Amino acid sequence: MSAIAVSPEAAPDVTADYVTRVQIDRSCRQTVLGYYASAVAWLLIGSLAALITSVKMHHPEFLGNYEWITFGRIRPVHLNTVVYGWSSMVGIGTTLWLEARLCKVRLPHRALLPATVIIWNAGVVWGVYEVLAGHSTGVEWLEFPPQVLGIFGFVLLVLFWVSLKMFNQRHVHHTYVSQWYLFGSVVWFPILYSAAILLPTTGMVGGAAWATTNWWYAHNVLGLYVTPMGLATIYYLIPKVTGKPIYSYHLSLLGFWANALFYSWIGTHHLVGGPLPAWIITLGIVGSIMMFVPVTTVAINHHMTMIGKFHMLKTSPTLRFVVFGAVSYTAVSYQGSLEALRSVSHVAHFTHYTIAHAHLGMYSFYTMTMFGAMYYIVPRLTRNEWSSVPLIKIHFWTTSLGVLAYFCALSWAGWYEGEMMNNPLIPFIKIVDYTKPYLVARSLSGSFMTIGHIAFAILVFRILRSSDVSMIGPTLFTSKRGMMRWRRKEA
Amino acid sequence: MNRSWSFIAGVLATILFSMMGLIFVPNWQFEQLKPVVDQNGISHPTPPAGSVLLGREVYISEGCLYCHSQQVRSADFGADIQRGWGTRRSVARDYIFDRPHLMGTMRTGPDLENIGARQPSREWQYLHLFNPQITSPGSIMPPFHFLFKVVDKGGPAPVGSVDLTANASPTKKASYLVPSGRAQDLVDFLMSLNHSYDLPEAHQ
Amino acid sequence: MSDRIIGPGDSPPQKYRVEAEPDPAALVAPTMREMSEPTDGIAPTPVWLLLFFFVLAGWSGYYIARNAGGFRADIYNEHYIAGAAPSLEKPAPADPLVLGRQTFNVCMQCHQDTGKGIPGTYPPLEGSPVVLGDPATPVRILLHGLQGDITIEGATYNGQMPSWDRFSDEQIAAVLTYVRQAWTNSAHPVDPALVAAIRKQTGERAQPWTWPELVIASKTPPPSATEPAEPKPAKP
Repeated sequence: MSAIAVSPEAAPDVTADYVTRVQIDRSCRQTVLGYYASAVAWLLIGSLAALITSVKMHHPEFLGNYEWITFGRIRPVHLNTVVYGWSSMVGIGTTLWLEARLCKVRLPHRALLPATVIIWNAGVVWGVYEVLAGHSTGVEWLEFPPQVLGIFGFVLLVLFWVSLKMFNQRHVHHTYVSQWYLFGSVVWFPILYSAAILLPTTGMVGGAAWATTNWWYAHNVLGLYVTPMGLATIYYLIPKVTGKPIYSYHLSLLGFWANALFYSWIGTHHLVGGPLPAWIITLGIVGSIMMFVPVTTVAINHHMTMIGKFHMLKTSPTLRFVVFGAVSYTAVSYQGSLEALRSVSHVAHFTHYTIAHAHLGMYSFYTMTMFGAMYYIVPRLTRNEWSSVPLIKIHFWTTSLGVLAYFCALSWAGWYEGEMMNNPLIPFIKIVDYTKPYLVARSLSGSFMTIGHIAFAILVFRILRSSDVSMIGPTLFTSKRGMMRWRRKEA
Repeated sequence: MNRSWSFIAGVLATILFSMMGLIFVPNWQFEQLKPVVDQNGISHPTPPAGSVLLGREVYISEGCLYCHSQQVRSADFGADIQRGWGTRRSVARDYIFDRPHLMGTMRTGPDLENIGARQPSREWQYLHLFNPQITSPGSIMPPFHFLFKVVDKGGPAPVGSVDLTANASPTKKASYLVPSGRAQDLVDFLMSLNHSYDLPEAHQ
Repeated sequence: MSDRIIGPGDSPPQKYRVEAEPDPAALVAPTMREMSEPTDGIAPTPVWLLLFFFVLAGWSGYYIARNAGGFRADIYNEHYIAGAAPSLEKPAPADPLVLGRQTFNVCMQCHQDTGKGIPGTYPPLEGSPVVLGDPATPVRILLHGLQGDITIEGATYNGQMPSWDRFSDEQIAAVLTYVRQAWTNSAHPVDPALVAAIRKQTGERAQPWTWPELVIASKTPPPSATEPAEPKPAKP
């Protein structure tokens, strides 16, 4: 049993709550697993699109005769599948489970919610088809046809309604910090998404204001949708796995409201030096710098909670992925704040440096956190254990090292690309030549990450169909092979 | 019960605040911008129409905006002007007819805000779109073979075609490169990208 | 009992053999072994953190006051200060070689940064007799363009050189000076006055030149061509 009691001082909670938890998990099972399975499928599709895009960047002739997968179409397919396919679906699944657990109520609308999985998937499939067919809207992060708003909007309204219902029926007096973030994201995202589509398409906003709307949306997708879901997950899982309370309620409170207030302003830092009056850019920069407040707060809160529990990173896959995500959150946010400054943007803007930064956020922070969440949640829903320690190890090391290599290669290339671009005596083609080896490095590190995704997909596939291999006790990094045992199906 | 509504109110307030500042106020400011009219009675910027508008659709459809920006930074911010990408910085007024905006955020390739002025040769545009290696060896721009037809030399030159040397032709014979209607529209759009006129606010 | 916990209303697992002895795995099933739901600690917010935030807020206020251009729609330069007189001093004249090198960024779209052009498509500038010969000819080409066949070092080109008359006299002189002295080229610099003279002389011309026309034109020297008496070959 010593391998199971991972933490000596915190005993597992085998109380009356246990029955409630089982009931909640049962109520979530179909919906959340539906979202998770779709998310993983989109992750694989997104990785494939990413690899094709990446190879095309150093071998432009690669698959060059097929208009449907020309660079300018497969690239937005990558972005949209990982944002609206993988990130959204894994996020919604996690949101529903966390809300049910935190409110201690069963998931309502158990006929409608599984249907939303199909509806959301249909929206992504349609959007991807339209982009591949050349009917993109041409607005970054919003390439899907505006009518997709009807599909996503419906699901988001259901999600809002369900969250509100669970919140109002909650069986706990105290509202835990994760709930604020989750509730924030289900309120914010429908507003963001519908405003960013409706204001320009109805003609209320156009020209250069369309650009501010575009980047107001695109950065708020990160700040007010993806980040809250990621942070809620970290805030939940670190104390849950370690058995320690979160360090400070006051810091949580400060962090949440500072994030809400400042993050929503930073989108225009994507247009530094661009054709917008100075004040719009200046506000974007100030918002970015003020993001030091929530980020520092969250970083302290997470770090102080982890103190004394770092040894658990050796054993728990959940914790290792989640803490990797938490550290990346701090790193990417500080980097982002500084990147907004005119003096840094002067070099980094328009280069691969920005791409590296985006992957540090969307991948190293959010995706890794969500991997951790799935490692924790899926066994509770399937009542099965992860089937293979080596596969989890492959998943962790390929994705973590892959994204670090990706980040380093593109940051380095991007910075020098920017420096060279600012020197008019260097011909443009020389800059392109300079970046080529790093673009190859990107393809290699991306392949590495994709290997991890395949390993993860195998694990998810096996746990979902109650694979023949099962573990006794949790599947930890330190679990020995001998603890696995074979179960045979009845003849 | 009450608490959830006050929470929602707070959350809504933050986002509406930023919408006001980053969408509605800028839009209100830009709505008042009018084109300038030069001594020949031509208004700048010129509203896109006809094949230029169709070419814009092709530009979006093929995703050119992911590698090419359409904005020139000021002389003291980057080398855009020294590189010949424009003669002055871009300002909001240059974009009053843009639906959607195509400012872009990447320069994997050069800026195109004034490509019509700095590369006025249609022939170059066709060759470059057909296969960027012909005009710019080492480029990582994808070829757009599917927007063109290659016809062997022998018959009369098809209307609007350009010469393809044996080296550049996929058939390895001297050929005519025949742009499709979409390629012609796209080049019409690229040719229309010329913001060489001057605007007072570009200097302050 | 199997390793699966039977929850309320859970149908018994049917895929698995029911084992005879009690399964210790039951006790460690995921839902049972987990910790209680997270709670909040009440550590106070550190004072240094609050101070740090006040410093940031102060900086932000200062930054907005300094760099927001009075929230005006027509102020793009963040250093704009209302009421300040616009700077009247002219920038120092650029070194012709640097100006020429910068202007050449446009030319290299076809002629390449190596000056070697594209065989069969765009003629080379390195070693080209047109570039290195009488500067009036390349000036004419830059001002009005060139179309039709032209033979450079035995190879025939049939492209269309666009007109670059939007460049100033200084820019055209500078870029030609650069081209005449870059790579292995070494010919004497081009004077902006020559460009101005030719521009004046051929001002009404609307058509691009053809090579035969240029040959004829080169025999009539421009009225006030002031070329340096002494060729000054110099390498950049």
